[in-house]
Amino acid sequence: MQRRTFLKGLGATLAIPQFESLQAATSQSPAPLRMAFVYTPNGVNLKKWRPTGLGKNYQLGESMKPLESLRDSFQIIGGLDHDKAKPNGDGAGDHARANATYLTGCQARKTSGSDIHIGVSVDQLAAQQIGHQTRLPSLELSTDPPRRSGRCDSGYSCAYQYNISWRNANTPMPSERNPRVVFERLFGSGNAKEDAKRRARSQSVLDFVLEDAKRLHHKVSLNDRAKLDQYMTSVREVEQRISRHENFKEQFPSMVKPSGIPTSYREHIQLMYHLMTLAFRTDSTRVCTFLLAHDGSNRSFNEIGISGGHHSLSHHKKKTSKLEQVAKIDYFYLEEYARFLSELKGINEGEGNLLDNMMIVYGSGIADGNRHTNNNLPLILAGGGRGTLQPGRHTLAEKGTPMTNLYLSMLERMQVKARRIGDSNGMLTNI
Amino acid sequence: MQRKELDMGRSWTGQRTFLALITTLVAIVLGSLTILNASPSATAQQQLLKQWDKDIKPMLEHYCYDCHGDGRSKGDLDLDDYPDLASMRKDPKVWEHILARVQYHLMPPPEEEQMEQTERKKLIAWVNDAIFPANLTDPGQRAMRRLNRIEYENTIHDLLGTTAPLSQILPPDDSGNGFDNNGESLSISPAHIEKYLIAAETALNDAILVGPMPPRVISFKKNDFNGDGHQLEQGTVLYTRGSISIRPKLRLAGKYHINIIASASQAGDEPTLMDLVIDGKRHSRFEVKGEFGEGKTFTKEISLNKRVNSISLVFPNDYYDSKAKNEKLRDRNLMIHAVHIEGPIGVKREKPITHRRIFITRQKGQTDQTYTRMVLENFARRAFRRPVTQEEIDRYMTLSEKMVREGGSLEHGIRSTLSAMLVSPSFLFITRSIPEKPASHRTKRIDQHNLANQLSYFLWSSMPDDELMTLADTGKLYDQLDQQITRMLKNPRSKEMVSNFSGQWLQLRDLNTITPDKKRFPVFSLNLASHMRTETEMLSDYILRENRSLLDFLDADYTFINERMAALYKIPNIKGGHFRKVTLKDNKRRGILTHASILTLTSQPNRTSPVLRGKFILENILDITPPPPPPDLPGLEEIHDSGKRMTIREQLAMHREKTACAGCHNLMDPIGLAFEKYNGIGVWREFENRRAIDTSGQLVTGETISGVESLRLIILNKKKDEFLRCLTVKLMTYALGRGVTRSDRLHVEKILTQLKQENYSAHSLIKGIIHSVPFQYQRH
Repeated sequence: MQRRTFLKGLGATLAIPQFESLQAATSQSPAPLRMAFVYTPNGVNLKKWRPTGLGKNYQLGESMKPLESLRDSFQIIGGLDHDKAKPNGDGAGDHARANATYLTGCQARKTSGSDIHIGVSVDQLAAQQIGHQTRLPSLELSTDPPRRSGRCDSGYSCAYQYNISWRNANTPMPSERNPRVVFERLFGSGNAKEDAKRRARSQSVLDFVLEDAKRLHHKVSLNDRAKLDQYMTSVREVEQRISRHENFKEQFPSMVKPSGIPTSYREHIQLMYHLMTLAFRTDSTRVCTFLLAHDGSNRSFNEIGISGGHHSLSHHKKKTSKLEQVAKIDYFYLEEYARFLSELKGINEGEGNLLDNMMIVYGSGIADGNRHTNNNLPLILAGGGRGTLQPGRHTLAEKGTPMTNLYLSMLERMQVKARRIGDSNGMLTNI
Repeated sequence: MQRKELDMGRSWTGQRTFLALITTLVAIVLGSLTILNASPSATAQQQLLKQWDKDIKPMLEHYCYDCHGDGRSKGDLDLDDYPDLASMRKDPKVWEHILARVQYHLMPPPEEEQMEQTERKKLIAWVNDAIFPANLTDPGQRAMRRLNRIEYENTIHDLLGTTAPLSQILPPDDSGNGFDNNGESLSISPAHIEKYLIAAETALNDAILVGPMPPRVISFKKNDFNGDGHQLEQGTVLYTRGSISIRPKLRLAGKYHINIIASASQAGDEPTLMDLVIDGKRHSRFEVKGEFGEGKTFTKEISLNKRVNSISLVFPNDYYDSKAKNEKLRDRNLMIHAVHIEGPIGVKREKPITHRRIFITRQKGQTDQTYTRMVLENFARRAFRRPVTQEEIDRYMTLSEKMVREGGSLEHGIRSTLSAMLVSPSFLFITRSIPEKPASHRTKRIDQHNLANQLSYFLWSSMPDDELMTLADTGKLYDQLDQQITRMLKNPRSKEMVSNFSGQWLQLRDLNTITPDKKRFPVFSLNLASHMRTETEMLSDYILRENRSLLDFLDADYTFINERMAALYKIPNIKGGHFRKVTLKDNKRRGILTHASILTLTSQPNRTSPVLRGKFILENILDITPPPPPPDLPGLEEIHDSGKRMTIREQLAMHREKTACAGCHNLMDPIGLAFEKYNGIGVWREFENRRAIDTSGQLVTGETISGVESLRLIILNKKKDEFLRCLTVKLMTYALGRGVTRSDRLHVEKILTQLKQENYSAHSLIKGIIHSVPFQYQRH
């Protein structure tokens, strides 16, 4: 019942933004710049994806038709690579690597359990430097179904295949798939007094267990200390987050609290995008990642009449019927992405709208799902970057440009200091 | 199909050559282990080099150098790069690849001259010895690990006696080596800490009742009502004169509050009435106003006899006027949403047992301080699953006092302190204290409490119970280990091991999420999938807990089914929803490989997949990890995209004509094709598209098979060791919470030797693992 009511409301927001009741959290002017990363798995049907022509007068590919009315608000950048997602001597495991490399630009150490190692991801790099400016340093979302058991891709630990956001080389940031939990993280339980008490209690508890961990530290073997360090770092971070809480104004959106996870995949995605919009709208965070599904995901799309699994279809072997279905999935995902962009665009902020003050990367770590290529990756960069981006174009980066060069340029705009990220070797200037 | 490849350091072969070595090493007294040098001794080294010159190098030159030597380096492998042992040991990954390919008969390639079986074995043994040295005294590296979310929930439930689900609050666990209890893969992010705080509070709120105990409330909803009326979503509606009644079963006589939630529609010139009638006597009358469907509470305090028979609510003044001007005022109806009987008022009630387990009886004259100390100590010892020091309790005392000072009762203070304990690393991690280091020993037996934890998380996925703790406290656990293992396996908690282990080894957990094509398989439902899971889980349970032969996994002439499953299998005369043990009359469902569960899991949503089925058996039954297809293969299916419809067998045959595909597909396809008479959800069929199904084939090791039956016999007769080794490695991985590597192969062979002597009994395997050095010892 509740969910339906909410979704009706969601439909309405597409026409008329309903957030005027939300006090503009961003009273500071100009409005802050935010960034987000949306991951779509298994590559795309490139033929139907790729635009034709360059510059302003390019033609959108067939799969991108849902974005037509928004073409002034995004740009398509071709030619970016993720070299570190290639085997480079490590053999199979392209899906795990594509997922793990996407935001880190690092080569995942091939291990099915021990000594997991990759690198900090672009969103976390930002969260570590500018996260203190908002209530939540970052937000990690996903609509991936519950995980499959057993081993993951070709001898890689599942940590690589299910996480795109990495706090450091060996700590992934798990994403939240329950809209209700995301809502409560953003806006509390609805009982502000109780929430404040809970924060105070948590603060004392965390203080205390940190001391516990320190005492334990010299009683365990060297090998075990790494685990305790991970624990302590995480405790400290939550502590800081709580203590910063009072610096920010409480937010109460008019949205009805979601009751849980919708059974329809489309509704689930819509709800997550909507929460992301709310998070940015209320300046609860400025950094967000959204894993639509992990790479290698074999989910079927009964809502659009596709009973085969996405991953098995992506190995289309150039078969027309399979390619058609892959294109349909790409289209499905882009419809929802377009809806999200429209929602952002419908929200006024300063002289423009929310989308003008954003940078949103949408793409996959694999270009062609059949051959698992990691060059010339499908990529859409939406938003005006607060006047620093030039949307409305299709450009082609110089051959061999790492994807991370784009990230580095984005970080610079976010005023995050980073000399490099993963395999970056410079900035991507023409964006 | 998920591409999978060699899993470094994970697959391995035990070699019979080592058995001789084992017998000498077993003699070492376990209590005073001195670790052997990890690399072979000088004489062993000499031996290896001699062998290299005499046997191995000539063999490689003969079979391999055409492509991988003398300047040729197909697939980037040039054996000339490895002139000596040192250079080989520098590249274990390369040698791991070589081993796997030789072992699985992928190299030399099918079209080239093949090695003799004895040569193959010799080569494998030598590489194992030379590059992956192993010994029986090294327990291997194992990290301290946190509880996964299943263990977390079980532990909280056992600790507090609560049952509320918690695991969904926590982030999903990343698995490693195929299991979600892999220490290295279980990380802790800030999100985890946030969730641990929430989960701890949720659990403790559930267990502890702060403040005075409220009176008992008995609630009655529409389904508990007798009498007239019509049920709507919110309650029962009386459209005409009539009544509903309830029968409370009271334990005590006394004063009670009766809270009636009701609403009514209005019509005519008097309000809707509701009479409260007790055992036939009208007690009071209410006027029910307001909106129909929006329940309001009507309360009365009443003295009730213990024997009170019925409490009724009567609608005495029905009214209907279809001509009334205001449409909303035409019909008078009463809706009863719920009735709550609260009481007896003023009688002191005992707090719930979960509360009393924490707030143990307070001795007369005990101060707050001594009482708090007693409560905290009692809880900490159980929560941390080890003895606690006075110093630790002192610290928690200060926290508790602080919480009380900051405004709260003693109960509040203690609850918050317990919350801290549940977020402490001592609770969240299965810790192992650092042993004292005698200079000569590099390994040490874990202490009694560590052992209790290891045991209970292996067999129960939860904390040790009082008996284990007491034995550990008194230092007797090692002495009574076997009795305890037997006891623990009898305890129903050991079903956790069965469900968590088989759920991941055989991937049964995935049955919750699969989505076969509804058009192709109309009988399929998630409910059916859960029945499928139950069958295989019950068989696993029967074998593992009832100490059957492990070969029953492959060859049981019995299974566990209910009516629904029997219908799927076309087995007659099984009635009812409960699962029961059934002796099979034919061989169609003998062993797990022909269970609908596994056949469904290894299919595509709309068809069978011989490749997935073959791969599943290789990986999970025979411990062979087939390498993935090489990248950039030309699209084979283009060739036959147009033209006549081909069977899967024909398509796969085309695949194998390509040399690049032949190696691995020769390995997988014949195995998978043997199962073609089972469709995508495991239903038996003789024909596909009106053509008889052919299930014959030849295994890469030479045996011809005619179908599942002969495949099963070949595995049972000729590949029994592979299966047992595979199962041992999987269960050991689960028991240790770390990957089992080539360096562990001597430990595994030792368990296998014992297993054979004990007729493959399941408990021999479980005990073998628990008695192994990796389970009981740790490196410094």
